[in-house]
Amino acid sequence: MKASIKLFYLSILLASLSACTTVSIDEMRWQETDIDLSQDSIVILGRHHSPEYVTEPDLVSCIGRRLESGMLGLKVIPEHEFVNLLYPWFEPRTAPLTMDKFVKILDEPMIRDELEKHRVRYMIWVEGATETVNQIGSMSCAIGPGGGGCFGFGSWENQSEYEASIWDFENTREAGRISTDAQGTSYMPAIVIPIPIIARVQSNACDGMGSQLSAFFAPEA
Amino acid sequence: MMAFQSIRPLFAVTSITLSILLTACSSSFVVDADFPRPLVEPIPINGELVLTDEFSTYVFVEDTETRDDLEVDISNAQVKLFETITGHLFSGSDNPQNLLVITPSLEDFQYAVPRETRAEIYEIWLKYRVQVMTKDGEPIADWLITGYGKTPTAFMKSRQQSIDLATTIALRDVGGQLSIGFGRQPDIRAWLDDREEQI
Repeated sequence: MKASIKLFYLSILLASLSACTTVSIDEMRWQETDIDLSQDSIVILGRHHSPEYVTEPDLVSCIGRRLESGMLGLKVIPEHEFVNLLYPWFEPRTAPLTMDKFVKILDEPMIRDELEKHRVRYMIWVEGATETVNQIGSMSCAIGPGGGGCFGFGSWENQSEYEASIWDFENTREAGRISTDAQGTSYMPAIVIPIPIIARVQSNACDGMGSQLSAFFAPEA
Repeated sequence: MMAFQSIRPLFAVTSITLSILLTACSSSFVVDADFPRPLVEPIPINGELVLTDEFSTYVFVEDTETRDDLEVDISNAQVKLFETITGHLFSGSDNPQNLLVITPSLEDFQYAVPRETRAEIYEIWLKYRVQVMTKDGEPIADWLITGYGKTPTAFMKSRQQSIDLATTIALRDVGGQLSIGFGRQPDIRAWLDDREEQI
């Protein structure tokens, strides 16, 4: 019985192990924000035009959740719901990459009506990705009739680079930009059982970006 | 009896591992996607969609020796896509001569997986030929549309899920080009302008 309790606490301890992550955030603001929290909504969209990477949908929805649950409780239209409402104008091929192109598609009355109907006040474009930049070590696992196990050591470094561009729909201007860089190294020593010590790089980048965006929309004291 | 019971968990683990290893190299699945109505100004003519049996039952089969086996059934998804788009593309006309017959066919299905491109993404290319004719069978346009979709590799996301999603994105891309580009396609535009002049 005591052994099973010890095993239980050991597994909780192992699961809670996480490696460190360094996050740095920069903000550029070109105009003050003005949002009616009772009615206006914002939308967060990932950029998908780069041939080398895709801004992860998980990251985009994570930032959305942070803004909804943040100090302002902003209304966030989920990405998939927004792109379906305005299909096909926000697909990877057709999405406006610049404010000038966005202004041009607003000439389509159906698009403008849809945005006004949902009271979209700000549009946030998130561009970037999390990548594994360095990997070292090796591990070998074996299984036999008497049991199995792994031996070795592995480590890898993840790096996140994201930039959020905030577009003001009403004034058709870019209100500001927030960039987040995060990096961390994960370790996986294995003596019979592999013990993952994971750096939550993307998750920390999301937390950093979410908090900074909440502060960006907060009215000045 | 005791000996058999102690081997049983090991046997189960081995069976599960073996079945995972065996299924890792082949996948067969049906793309099941829904497509939203396109937000475009409808064209004031009648449109008729003709779907051939080949189109309605198309299944992509990868059987080259250098690649893992793959079967992607996109028949239902591509039928839904063309029905949804053409269903919202035309607002109708009282003149029975103002009718365009649209016949799509899938010319090519290509894909790339991370192992081949060294990029951490799955990619899909779909090439469609859209033949547009008048009610009397006079050809108006022979239009090639290439759709592209990509999805990132992700922890706990299988090859099948990634290809499924990339195919859906590629189909949406085709739908986008069809809905935005139909009235702008030069041959179709010329025919529409001609009809307007006759009215």
